[in-house]
This record gives sequence, C-alpha cells and structure tokens, in this order.
Amino acid sequence: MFHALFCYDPASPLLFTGGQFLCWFSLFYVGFLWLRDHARARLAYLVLFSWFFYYKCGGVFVLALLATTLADFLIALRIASTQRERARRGWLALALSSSLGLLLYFKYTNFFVSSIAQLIGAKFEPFDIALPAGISFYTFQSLSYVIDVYRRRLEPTRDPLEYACYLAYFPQIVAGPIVRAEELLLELRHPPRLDAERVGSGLYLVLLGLVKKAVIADYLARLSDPVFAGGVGLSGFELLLGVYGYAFQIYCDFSGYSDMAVGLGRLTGVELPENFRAPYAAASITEFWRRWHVTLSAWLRDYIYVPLGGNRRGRTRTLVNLMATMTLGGLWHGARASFVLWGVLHGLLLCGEKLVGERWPALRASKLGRLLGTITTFQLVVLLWIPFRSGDLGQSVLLLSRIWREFGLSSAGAVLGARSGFLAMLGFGAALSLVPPGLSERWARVFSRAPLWARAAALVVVVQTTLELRSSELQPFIYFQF
Amino acid sequence: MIHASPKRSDEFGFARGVAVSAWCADRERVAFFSRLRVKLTTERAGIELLAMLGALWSLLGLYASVARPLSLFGRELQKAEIAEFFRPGPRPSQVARVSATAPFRVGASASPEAASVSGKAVLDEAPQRILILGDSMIEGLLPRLADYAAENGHSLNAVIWYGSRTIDWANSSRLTEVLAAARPTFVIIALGSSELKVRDVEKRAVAVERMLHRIGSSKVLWIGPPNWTTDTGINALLERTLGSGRFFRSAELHFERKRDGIHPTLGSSERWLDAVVRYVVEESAVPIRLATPKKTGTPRPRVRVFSPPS
Repeated sequence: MFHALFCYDPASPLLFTGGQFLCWFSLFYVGFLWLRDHARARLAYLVLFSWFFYYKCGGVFVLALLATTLADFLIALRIASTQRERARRGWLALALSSSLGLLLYFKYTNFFVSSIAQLIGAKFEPFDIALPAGISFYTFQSLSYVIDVYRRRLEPTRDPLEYACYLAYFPQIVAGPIVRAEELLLELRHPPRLDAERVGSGLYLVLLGLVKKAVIADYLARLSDPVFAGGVGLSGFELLLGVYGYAFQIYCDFSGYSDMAVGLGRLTGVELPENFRAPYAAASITEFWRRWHVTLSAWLRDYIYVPLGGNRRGRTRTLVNLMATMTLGGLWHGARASFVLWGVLHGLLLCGEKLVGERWPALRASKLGRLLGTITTFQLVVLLWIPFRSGDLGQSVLLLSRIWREFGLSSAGAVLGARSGFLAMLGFGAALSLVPPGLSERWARVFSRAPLWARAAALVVVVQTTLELRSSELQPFIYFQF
Repeated sequence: MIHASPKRSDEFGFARGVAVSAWCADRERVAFFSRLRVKLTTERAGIELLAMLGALWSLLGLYASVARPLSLFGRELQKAEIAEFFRPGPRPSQVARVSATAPFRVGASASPEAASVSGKAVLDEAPQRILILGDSMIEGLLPRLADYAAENGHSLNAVIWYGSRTIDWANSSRLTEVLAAARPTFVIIALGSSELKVRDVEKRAVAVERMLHRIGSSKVLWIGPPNWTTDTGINALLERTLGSGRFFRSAELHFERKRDGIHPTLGSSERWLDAVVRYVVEESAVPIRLATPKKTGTPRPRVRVFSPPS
C-alpha cells in the first residue's frame, strides 16, 4: 500500500480521472485551506504537492523538471541583471539550448536520426528513450518566461518557489493549458480568492471534464480505436462513424482535461486560461485555430509567427511564416511524419483561406456563408484528423479508400441499431463541442449557487456515472503523449 | 469567545462551568477559537467542498462494503474498488521491456510450473479438429498454424472477434455457437491483448473459468498476449487460472511490431507460433502431433470474423 500510494507506478500513473487522484486531492485540500493565509507556506505546499504529482505521473523524470526549473530561474535572473546586449543574448541562447536540448533529446532524437538514416540508406535501430510526461508543455512555459524576460516585457521573479510553482503547478503541468508567467505569477502572489462562486464553478468544471473524458471520450474510443487499428471486419459506414467518433473523442478528451485543469485551478484560487471555445463551430480554419488549443495557438503566434515577421512583410512572407508556424505546431505534437503532415496541411488551408479572403472579403459575411463555412471547416478538420490519428500516410489513404469503396447505406440501419450507445455519446460530444464558453460559464454560476445538497448529489451522480460507463481499460489522456 | 456557563446550581456543575470558562479565558485559546471561527466563516466554500468530498468518500466506502449491490433500472450499480486505488500495479522489473527492434527470442516463455509437467503428458498422435479463436492476434498466427495443420493432418477452423476480451466471450453466446459448429478436439485461444490495462483484472478470472467450462473436455491451450506495454496482471491471472501446461506466456518475448506498435509483423508472428508449437510438444499438458511443416503457404482455412464489441 505504501508503494502504491507514494511511489511512481508506470502501470497506473496519477490521472485526474482516477480514484487515487481524488484521494490525494482530498488530503491536499485540507492542508491548502489551512495554509491559505500563509503566503510562503502555501506556496511551498503547492510546489511540493505539484512535484509529488509530477513524480507520480512521470517517475524519475521529475529530475528533468527540477533541472529546467533551476536553470531557467537562474538564467532569467542573469539576463535581467546584465546590461550588455551580447551577454544577454548569450544567456538567452544558453536557456534555449538547455530547455530545447532536453525536449529535442527526449522527443525527437529517434525521429531525426531515423530520417537521416533513411536519407542516406543506412539501417537504424531506435534508441530506447522514454518521453517524460508533459515535457512539451512545461518546456514551452519555461521558454516563454525566459524570452519575455529577455524582451524586457517581464520582471523576473526573485523567488525560486514562485518560479517552481509556475512551472510545476499540478493542474496544468501534464497537458496544459500553457500559461504565461505574467498571468500565473500574479495569481500566486495574492491570497487565493475562494468564494462560493469560484469554488462552485471550479467543481462544476471538474465534473464537466470528468463526464467529457471518462464517459464520452472513453466510450467513443471503443469504435474509433479499432477503426484506426486497421478496421478489419468493419463496414465502410462503421469506418466513417469511427472517424467522426474520433473527432469528438479527441475534443472531449482534451477539452475534458482542460476543463478539469481550469476547475482545479479555481479550487486552488488560480484562474487558468481557457483552451477551447466551441472549436467545431468555427466558420474557417483560421477561426478554428482561435478556438482549438487556444493557449498553444497563442504561444506559436507570439513566439514563432510574430518574430518571423507575421503579416508585416508582404503576402509571400506571410504565407511562408504561416507554413513554418503550422509545420512546427504539427511537429510539437510528436516526432512523427504524420504530425508534420497534419501541420503542413493545416498550414496550406490557412494560406488558401488568406488568399481567398483577400480576393473575396465578403464571402463569409452572410449567414448562409457562415453556415457553409462551418460545415466545410468541420469536414476538413475531421479529414485531417485521419493522418493525425493513423500515424501513417499509407494507412490514412487505405482507410479513406476503404470508406470510399465499402460505404453503403444498406447496412446503416443495422449498424445504427447495434451501436445506439455510441451514437448517443457522439450526440453528447457534438452538443458539448458547440456550447459557447459564455453559456458554459453561466451554467457554472448556476451550479455554484445551487444548495449544498444539490451540488453534493451532482458530485455523487457524476462519479457513479463514470463508474458505470467507464471503460475497463486505463485510458490516459490523448494529449499526455505530446 | 466561547463560554460554558453552569446550568445547574449543584457543586459539580458549577465547578465544571468555572473550569471551562477559565480554560476558554486563556488568551491563547481565545485567539485560537477566534481564528478558527474566522477561518470557518471565510473558508466556507472550501469547507463545503471538503464536506462534499467527505460525503462522497463515505458513500463510496459504504456501498463498497455492502454485500448486496443495488440495482437501478435493472442494472446493478458498480462499486468503486477503493482498495484498488492503493494496490500497486505490476512492478516494471516483473515485466520485460519490449523493444520493437530487439531480436525475437523463442523458448524463454514457459513458466516454471508449465515446464515441470513436461514429459508427464502423453503425446496424442491422432488427427485433431483444431479451433483457434480470439482477437486480432490470430490474423498473424493463422498462416503458420495452417501450415502445421496441413502437415500433420489436423483440420483447422478459426474465429476472429476483433478487439474482443475474455468478458465479451464469457458474456455472449458466441463461444457456444462456434464450439457447436466446429466440434473441436483442440481449442487454441489467443486473448488478452485488449485487457493489458484493465483495472478490474481479478474479475476476468470468472470470465476465463466460464469460457473453460463451456469448452468442456476438449484440450485447451491459451496463448498469452504479446505485451506491447506493461500489463496490470492479466498474464499472471491467466497463468493462475489455467493451471500448469495450458498457458503459453508471450509477455516476455520480443517482437517486431507492425506500424501500429501493437500487432507483431507476419514474420514475427510465424516465429511466435513456432515457439508456441515447441511449447505444446515439449512442455505443455496437451501435447499433440505438430511436426515442422515442409511446405509453407497453405491456403487460409475458413475464418469467421466478428466486428469489435460495441
């Protein structure tokens, strides 16, 4: 029991949807409330719990997190205290190379070496390198901090605890949202506001995220997983259903995690940024990227697209910048050619939209135009999820050709009848993906004003529902692998 | 400040009241209770949350401890397996790391218990009606098994239920139907790949026993899943439930995988089946004639295919 509670177990990492997390969070919260008014003790407590949480998720890789924390904290101080531009640039280069070096080593070594081996026709055996959980997320946070200090947009914190908490804050370390230092550090400096509305809405978001992930996403995976694992024995109609199922599975999985992160943030008095704004209601790919994984899009915009020149250097350069940003965005998701391809295709669509938008600016002004735009955008996004999920261009083409050849409505009735549970979850997922953030916040406020017994009953009902509908397999969050 | 005034005029009550008043009048204690009251007022939302979590834990614990589960709309309500939160998964040292490129090792798979029965069982030379059933792993095993069956005069039937698990077979009538159709004398089961990460692994023992009960007196060999990730105990459970000589443990073998990272390649699957055959003949409790085939590429036998369980 001691081992299960305190030691890292690769077979059962600490997930927000798991019982062990609920147990740890309940214990943590008692201490957190007690230390609320003691700024230093509260911060130290948050850091220790966050490190422990990360250790339970990623084991010894907590050392990589500690190394990044220490290195970037000290380097940022040096950058701020140095006046000579050349020295500042040198310190920045050191920070970038140390943080990016770790990320490149853990995430991209096999990808780059095998690509080179393929180019020169050599044989390559992949190195046995495991990927630390959440490294892409906390590395981006660390980079943004050092770059902001270098640009003199941010005064570096002189408190190592504050910086450690910014990087390791447990609700968002493993899969975001990617938070800027200026936002989180400010929140951490003040005593957390834990009024009824904030705590109530936090609990609402945790429960909503739990339903999205453990009930809807995991249920949808029951068909989409076999579809993308070859789909042998499935009809064309079922394959198509599985592809649409994946679109809502990944939405519910990731936005469910983000909701839980924002909810846990509110429970500890911190307002984390939202990551999703009804992405499938977007009327264009440009709009989709303002609604999907918002914090990553903003990071890519501020630290890659704008420094490259953004849209300030003419049309051709704008298109090149867009392509470069989206390709890197694709590569950020993982060291696979299919992710790069996914990023490139999104980049091409963005470029196409820019050109069309310049030529016919009034195209989407009408209501009909917006409706058609929403439908087209959704179909394109679903289409591009195929290479993203398949992991291989050949398999993507095979899946598409099978859907094309084997699609028939003759079996549709039987399939729909046999998969009524899947269809119901698909409907729930679709409905949730279209809820605008404002409406969701209003529901959260209504929930927070409900009587105590009603909120307690909702908690019990949601937990019991996840027990009833959960898959028997441990289903880690999809974005944990990125 | 909290005061306890005597309600009775008797000596004992009065003395107690004075003592409590004195205790509360102590400056430090007054400050403590004052802070506590402020805390309870300002942290009301947080304390309410703790109360809700407490109520949730109490209900889950209470329900987990009752012997008879409740039903709602004819469906039994699941119990939270609270003890499992604190039970460790298999240690990494107990589970071999599987490398996609490591060479395929054969013959290192049988458990000590299985090995101890080798030599005791008598080789059955008679032609068998072999039925192989299970999940998608059968796709890779089948071509080589067809070669062995043709070489040794056995008939072969195959049933693939993609993505199926032990509980799917145990809870449906499909097993009874395919057994009735094939009337096998030797049943090979390749299942467990979809149950590597199950939380409720102990519940699978009932499913396996139910399957074995339906198979009855036919010889049974279970091919364990080719782990691509650490399992939560399905291999240990199968080994325990099937007993000596009927379970081929594949977890520690090294496979070349297809691009999905899960299924062994065709070549690797062939070597996998060769290892299984060696185990059947040399170590298992159900040895049958399985001489090495001289020809390969035997036409695929009749395969019944089922879609993944919804």
